[in-house]
Amino acid sequence: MKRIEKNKFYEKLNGMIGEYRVFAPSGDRYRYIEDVSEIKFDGLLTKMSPKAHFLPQEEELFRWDEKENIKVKDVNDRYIVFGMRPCEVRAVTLLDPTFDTEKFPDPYYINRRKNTIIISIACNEPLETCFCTSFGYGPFTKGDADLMLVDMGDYFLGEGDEDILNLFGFTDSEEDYRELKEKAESRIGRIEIEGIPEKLEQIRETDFFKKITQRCITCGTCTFLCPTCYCFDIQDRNRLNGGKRVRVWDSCMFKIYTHETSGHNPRYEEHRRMRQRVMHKFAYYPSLYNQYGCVGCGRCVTYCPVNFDIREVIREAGGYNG
Amino acid sequence: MDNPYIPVPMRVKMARFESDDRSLKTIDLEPVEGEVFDFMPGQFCEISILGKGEAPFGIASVPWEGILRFTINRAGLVTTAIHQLEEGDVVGVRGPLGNWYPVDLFEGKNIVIVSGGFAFTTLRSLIKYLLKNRERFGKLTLVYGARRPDLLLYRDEIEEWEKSGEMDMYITIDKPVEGWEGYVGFVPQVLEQASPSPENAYLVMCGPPAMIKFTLPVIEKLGFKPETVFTSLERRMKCGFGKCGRCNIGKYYVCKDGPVFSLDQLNKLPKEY
Repeated sequence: MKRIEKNKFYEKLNGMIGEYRVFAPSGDRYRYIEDVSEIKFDGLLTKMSPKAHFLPQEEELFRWDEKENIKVKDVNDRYIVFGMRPCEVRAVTLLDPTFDTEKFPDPYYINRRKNTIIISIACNEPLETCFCTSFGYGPFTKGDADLMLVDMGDYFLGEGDEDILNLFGFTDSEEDYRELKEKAESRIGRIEIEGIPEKLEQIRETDFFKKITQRCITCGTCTFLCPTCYCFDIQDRNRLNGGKRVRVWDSCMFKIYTHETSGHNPRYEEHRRMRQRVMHKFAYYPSLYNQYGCVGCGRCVTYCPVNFDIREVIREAGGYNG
Repeated sequence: MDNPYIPVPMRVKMARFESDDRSLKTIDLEPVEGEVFDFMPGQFCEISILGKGEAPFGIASVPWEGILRFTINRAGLVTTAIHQLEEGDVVGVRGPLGNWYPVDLFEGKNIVIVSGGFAFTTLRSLIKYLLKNRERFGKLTLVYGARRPDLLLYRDEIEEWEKSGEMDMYITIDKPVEGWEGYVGFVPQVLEQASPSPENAYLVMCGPPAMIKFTLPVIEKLGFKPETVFTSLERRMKCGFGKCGRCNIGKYYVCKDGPVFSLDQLNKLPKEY
């Protein structure tokens, strides 16, 4: 194992700002920081997930001038995303098969993904709403992070890429984090996920989704905060001498999302939209990529204004016989 | 890396209204530089009008015509802008997108094409393809209907095809009109009258939801199995290649895994189209 004093780590990180754009927790969301003093952990998880780096809420695709010449912004930045939790790292891994495809690879996503160093921090004290261990990984999983830190009070233990450990000046240590890991894992509630994709397909046309949707106000908060939700809209913004085409986050919970020009809307009713959200994560995504599309971060549980709880929904689905 | 979000500039070579009520407009596009990309019948493109947006349209032409043809119903912001295009104007095109009619599967088989209204547009591409490779396919049957004669697309070509005798043709309009000598009646009834055999045959169907609803029972009655029936779906789309999320039906994206699906595939999916 390797270790580094926290002040030494942050000093080094501070020195890298400039060479890298550093995206770090700063209150309720991650921000690109100018100085490490802006880093503020507001509890274990930020309200807004760090997916905003990989898929910005609004991202320019290209712009055009008055002669309609199209220009794509040349982006050569390198990034560090610091402070991601294992669930958020996993969420990025789950975005890859949609955007880093063989046919029609997404250049904007891939550019950010390839030029980003991910430094994660393991979760010593998971929250009551965490259910990551249900999905075959946990609060100490490094996953696709380049470096995972474990908070030991005055210092971090580090695990990961040799080059990055050396870059920060980690030194050898006899310690390990096994005890912390076991303690953290034991605190996490699990949901019974076995057989859920098949079960959801079975009850797809029953009243199940109508029942669970009754109190939903389709505000879309769950989808905006969800680290694995990636849907976007493409819009044109006109300016005096040209304009730009941007993509912006969108949500399958919105009625207009599937509203066609003719007036026809295949997901007009709320329960059809709810079915789409739940089944995308727990049936469609698994059938395509053999993994669940949920990482168990619990944001949708914490921030839903009407206390909708996806864990309950999965539990109810498992036992539904209607 | 190619950027699939960037529209390629194409020039309007020909623009004409297709119907008397000017609700349908046909445009032929040719690239400002180079040649038209290769594509298969059933594929679509996103047509981009900078400042207005983009919308998906099925391609009505075949590659060897050297142009991309689209017939577009005026309905919203983008289609209204397209309707204002004149010859010489430049628009953006992204494509070809999506899958195509399974013409390899059709090899050696009889093909029945059933269509209503302006959904016929991509079927022009298919028919042109089948006729060009006529010897590779068996008997061809076309059942095509519209409300009025002027709403039938590509009437010159329909006449040509009728004269050529290459296809059994059943062209129909909803109500009798003076001077009309073809069939009169809705597509499902005319299909029943035509009564094509399901033996060694595939059926391709494109039309408005009402037509599809009443045609499906006829297709079943005629004995066509769901895996031999193909249709092309439409959904609201943005990216057109499986990223933006909105056009999925179950695990499929209409843009990337479709727009052409077999009835067998659709029967297993939620009715979200």
